[in-house]
Amino acid sequence: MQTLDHTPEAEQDPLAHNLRALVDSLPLFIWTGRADTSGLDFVTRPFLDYTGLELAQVLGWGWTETIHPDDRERLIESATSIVTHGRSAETEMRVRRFDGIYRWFLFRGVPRRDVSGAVVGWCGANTDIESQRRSFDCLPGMVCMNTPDGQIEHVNETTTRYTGCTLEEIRNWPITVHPDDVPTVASRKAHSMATGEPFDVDVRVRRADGVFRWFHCLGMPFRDSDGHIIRWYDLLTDIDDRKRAEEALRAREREYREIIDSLPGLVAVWNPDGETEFVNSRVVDYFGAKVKQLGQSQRDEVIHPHDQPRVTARLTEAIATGEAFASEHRLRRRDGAYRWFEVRAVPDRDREGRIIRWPVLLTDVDDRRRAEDERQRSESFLLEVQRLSRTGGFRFDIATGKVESSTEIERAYIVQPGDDLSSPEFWFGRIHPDDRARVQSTFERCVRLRTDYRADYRVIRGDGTIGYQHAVGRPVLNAAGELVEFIGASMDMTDQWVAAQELARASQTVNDMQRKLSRAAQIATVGELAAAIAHEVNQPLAAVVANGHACLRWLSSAPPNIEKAVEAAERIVKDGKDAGEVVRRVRALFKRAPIEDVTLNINDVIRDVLRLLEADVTKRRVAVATILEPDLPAIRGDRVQLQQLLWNLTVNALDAVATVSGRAKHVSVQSRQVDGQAVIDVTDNGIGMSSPEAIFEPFFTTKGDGMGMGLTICRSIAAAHKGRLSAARNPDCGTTFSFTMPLAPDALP
Amino acid sequence: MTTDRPIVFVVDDDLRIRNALSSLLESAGLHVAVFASASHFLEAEKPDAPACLVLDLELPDIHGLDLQRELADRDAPPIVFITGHGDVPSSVRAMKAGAVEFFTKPFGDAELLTAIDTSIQLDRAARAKRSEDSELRRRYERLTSREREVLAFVVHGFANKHTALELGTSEITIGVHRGHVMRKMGARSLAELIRLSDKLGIPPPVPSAK
Repeated sequence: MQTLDHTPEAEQDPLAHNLRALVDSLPLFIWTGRADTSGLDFVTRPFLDYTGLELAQVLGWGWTETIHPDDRERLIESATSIVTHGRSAETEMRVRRFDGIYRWFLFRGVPRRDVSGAVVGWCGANTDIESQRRSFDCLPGMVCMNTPDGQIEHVNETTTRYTGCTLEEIRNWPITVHPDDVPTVASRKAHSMATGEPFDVDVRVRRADGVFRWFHCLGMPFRDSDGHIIRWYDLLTDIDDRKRAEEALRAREREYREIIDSLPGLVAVWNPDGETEFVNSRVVDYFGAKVKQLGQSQRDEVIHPHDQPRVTARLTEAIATGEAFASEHRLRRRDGAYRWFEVRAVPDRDREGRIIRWPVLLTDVDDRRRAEDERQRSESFLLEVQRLSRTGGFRFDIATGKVESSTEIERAYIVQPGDDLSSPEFWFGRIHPDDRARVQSTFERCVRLRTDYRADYRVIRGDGTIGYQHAVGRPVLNAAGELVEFIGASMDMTDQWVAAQELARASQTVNDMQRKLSRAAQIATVGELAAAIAHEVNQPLAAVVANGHACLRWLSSAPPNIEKAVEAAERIVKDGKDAGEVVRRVRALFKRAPIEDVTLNINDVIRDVLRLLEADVTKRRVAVATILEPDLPAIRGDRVQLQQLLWNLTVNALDAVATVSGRAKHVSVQSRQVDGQAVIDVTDNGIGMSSPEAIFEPFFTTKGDGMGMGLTICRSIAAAHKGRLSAARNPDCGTTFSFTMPLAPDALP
Repeated sequence: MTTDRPIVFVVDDDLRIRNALSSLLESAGLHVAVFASASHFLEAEKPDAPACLVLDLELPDIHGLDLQRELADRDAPPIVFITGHGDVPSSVRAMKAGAVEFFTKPFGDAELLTAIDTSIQLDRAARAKRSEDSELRRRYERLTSREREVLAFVVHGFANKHTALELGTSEITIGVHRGHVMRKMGARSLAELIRLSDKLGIPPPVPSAK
């Protein structure tokens, strides 16, 4: 083995020999050199094995040939500085292996001194740090090692791969950094170099393909045991994605802010204590710029004083309970005018359910509110009017066939829950069955003909009672003249009707007479009587006719069936007698004696009848004169029959003057006493008649709607009272009917 | 007893009318049966012959119009109404409900006899149709249920092949069934079979979704 020390003592000294063997077996390269410029004077065996060189080739300055060109100068300088400055040095370098491959080593050197302390040389050791350097290269970030004055000394492979630059190129770092960032980076670095403070900066670094990505660059100083900075390490971490996300977030925030500002509503945010944190630009527009500094007090100040207690109470409650806040109140605009707002706030909560803020939406509802107030005022006015007049409104939509009704009409009909108020069938169905068909057809006709509608009818109300309605309506046409709807009003006449009924009940007597003597009742009586007579006579008559035909047929058959013909003829005789019997029975009916035989004042009878006819007389515009004999003695008879007689005569007289024109219509009723008899004359100035006696024949009539039985009945009544009824033409015009009957026997003087 | 001699039923509560009409109709050679009330008429056993019902509108137990309505779906004979009060609404209702005539008493013999004659002709035609229908129905009932199925397909225009497919059998079998159907229904041609089925109102078959 080669040695560096050629002294014989060393060769023979077993201790030195052993020491050399020990040193050679260490996994290090150990070197020594002299304080002059003669270079290396000793190196251990592992270095020769590693480099594959002979000792002679490496001693002196030969070893430098194995150092990577990039590291060579630095290393020489570093080694030289040990001797020159008498202090230790440390550096990293690549050393070429025997196969030409460079591996990284850490060099550490210290000065050698003699007993006097003078530097006589240096010694050092090289440690293989290749694996450390490899892991350094593999770091998932870019790492730069810099000299204490900031020159890039080395970068890891991640850096060269990313930038696509060699270390030499990277040394001029500004070419890999975005031009906008270079000044910042340069100044930060300079500051840190001067002060020794670490630095961090976000910087865009150009990738091999020319794309810049954001990196976070962190620079830390590395100090030796004496505290001297011997190196700066820079670590660059890719934060591009985060940076972009942040940028996108900021952009989105900007966008949301713009959206919130452009919302057609006023938006604010309260903090959990209910203090305003944020307002959008519309809020500022409305309240004015000072709203931005809104504290609790200013916010209260813009609320209308009348609304403030209510709003404050509700707000306090919402903040305390975390329940949604909603309120409608007036807020003062910057010009001092108050407008109604609907203010709503629902708390935003975090995952734990804590309120983090209150987004608030303020909607201007002033116009709606005013319209509502106005409508409510006019609605309640209309309702009140309807209520007072007991008049309800309805509307019938032609297109849908549906009905709309007002509260008042529903009240009048006493509608029940579940009633289908939109259906016309429901309303018609409520009309009294006797009135329904009439009202419905009237209404339908008015809709069809588009004419005004008017009807009075009874309704069966929801509680089963009867109500009275007076309804009017009119068609509503659109611009094209088409019928759109039929609107109407219906007045509840029930009270009036009830009053009328009570009035009627109060005058029970009048009512009774009215019922007995009413024209309708009279006609019905006569009509029924006539129908009964007709049927009674008709049956035998029909049999007679059929038997007659049968008889003729039996006689004319060949051969004639005499037996059958005789039978038929016998039936004719019998049926004929039956008919005669009917006629006899009818006569008996009219000759029947008075049901009642009481003492009466004939003048009272006349007054009763005229009172009942008063309305009729007025309507007909006939002047009726009453000339009553004051001291007319009593008669005996049936009041009702006599009233009927007088009624018939008077109505006949009124009918007789109905067609009179060109002169006043006159009817007079007169009572007098003649030869112990009471006489009543009913005189008219009508057109009169040609044959006064014919008028008493049954079925004689001059009236289109009469039965011709009136005077026949009158004559029967007269006969039943032993009296006489006669008619005579007046000298000038018209007719006088005279009814004469005996006075009561005890009334005679 | 089935006979073709026509009969006139007279329902009137008035004995005089019954006697007179009875005599009048007999003199015209008609067979007459008289009843004093609707219930007597309804309960009586009536011969199976062309008939006419002469009905008084006002009967003691039931109004003539109500009886008419009650008889409407019972193959009852045509009705000639007679009435004492000839009111227009009743006559209109009676005629609308199918009455042949509506006479107000008293009435002439010629009009009555003409109306009765018309009624009998109508009844005769109706009876013939009913009898033809029931004969047809009787023939149809003689068909087996399979033959009825085949009949429905055949008369609604399905070919034997298609019918066979629908009923899951062979075309030949369908041909045999079809022959039986024609014979049993007394149809000489497919056209006649279709005509008879129309009278029976055979509904179209519901073909399977196949």
